[in-house]
Amino acid sequence: MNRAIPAAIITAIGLGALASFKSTSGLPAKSAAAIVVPRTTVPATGGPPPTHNSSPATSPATGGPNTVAPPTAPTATTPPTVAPGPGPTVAQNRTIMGDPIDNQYGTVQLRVTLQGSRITNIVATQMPDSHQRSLEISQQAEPLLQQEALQAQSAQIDIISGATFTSDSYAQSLQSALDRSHG
Amino acid sequence: MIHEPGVDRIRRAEEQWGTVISVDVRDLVDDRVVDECFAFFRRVDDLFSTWRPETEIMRIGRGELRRADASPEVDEVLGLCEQMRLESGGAFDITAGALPNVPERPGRAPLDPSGLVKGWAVAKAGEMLRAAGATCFFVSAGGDLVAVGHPDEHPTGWRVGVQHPWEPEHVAAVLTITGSAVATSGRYERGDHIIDPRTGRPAAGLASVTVVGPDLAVADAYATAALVLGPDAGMRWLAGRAGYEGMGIADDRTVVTTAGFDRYRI
Repeated sequence: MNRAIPAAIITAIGLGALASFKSTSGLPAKSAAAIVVPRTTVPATGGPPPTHNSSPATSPATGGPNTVAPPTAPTATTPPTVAPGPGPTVAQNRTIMGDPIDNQYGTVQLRVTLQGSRITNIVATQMPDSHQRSLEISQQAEPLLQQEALQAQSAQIDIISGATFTSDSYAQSLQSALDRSHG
Repeated sequence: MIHEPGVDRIRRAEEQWGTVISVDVRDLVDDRVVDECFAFFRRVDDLFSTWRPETEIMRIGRGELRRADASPEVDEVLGLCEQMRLESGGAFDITAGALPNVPERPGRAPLDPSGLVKGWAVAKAGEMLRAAGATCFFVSAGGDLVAVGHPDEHPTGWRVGVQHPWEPEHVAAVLTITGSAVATSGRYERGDHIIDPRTGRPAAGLASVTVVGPDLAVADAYATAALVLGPDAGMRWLAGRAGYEGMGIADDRTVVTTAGFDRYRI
């Protein structure tokens, strides 16, 4: 279902804005632009991270923990990030509500902000929090899924490998918002 | 299922195992094989879920079912888990949840092969697709994936973004994958839920480990084991696994890669 998102965005190109009110999301337009990577740009290695300096490369001591020493030593580098590229040309933000989708843990409903045909923010207005497991899902699923939807179109990524914990309800609500965006 | 007219493509996603499993096939294959993949995923959940007391893995864990009487899939997975335990010197051990000092939490189980079974099942689905004639596809379960062939939009291979542990709007790396498996284990997923089987305490030092290699079940277990072993020992151990490459992101934001990992990076 997540893979359907870029296709839905492509279909939306050139279609008029259905809902033309300003973004009500919490993500400022500047932040939204910062995740955009030009389609031809190879993600560059970022500089030092904002909060800590990277520790220097450490040469591993000899001997593995359990087995024989590796044939090649690992190399340490500074952490990479995808470099922000220039923002898109200015297009009006519009915010669309997805359908509320029920699953066994509760209801998921998303509010999606588009700038032109590009998703710039996804906010869950409803996420299940009725019991322990649902709470875990709702706390983790929102940012990770948001990231996946945003990143998939910004760096032409087909798949995200991560410790994601996602929900089909999320994808369904997102899809319904996108369907609605091009009426 | 989305089956666009004139496009030889099958895409499908379902919620299973508390995550989303996605299948994307770019060949003209009988789409019943995709149904079979998802039926298999449901069976895997029925056998291996640690969230339901009636599954075979829970019954074995409680001593109600002997392994010899269990389904062949359960026997196969338990055999693989034992191999991984031995190879990792105990850093991968599905009995960690039974340790007395491991706190009670939802999904905790005396026998928990979750660190391998997701990758194992996705790899099986990939084999089912190959057997049906698919040459360009991916199968992904919550980010553990196999990606085969060369999609039209990326002729060099599928582009796989590695989730950045702390920056939700970034990926930590972008990989080009064709004919390999990618598994990521991370402590950011559900908090400190990966237990060091040697101590019963949560694994520390590495926020995430991504492993690329031929077999997703193995890559999945390797990623978990390296995470448990930590930034130095874990990445050294990973560097010694023939055919597999890895990238670890440490809590201090150092990124450690095995020597051959960069060949996958774009």
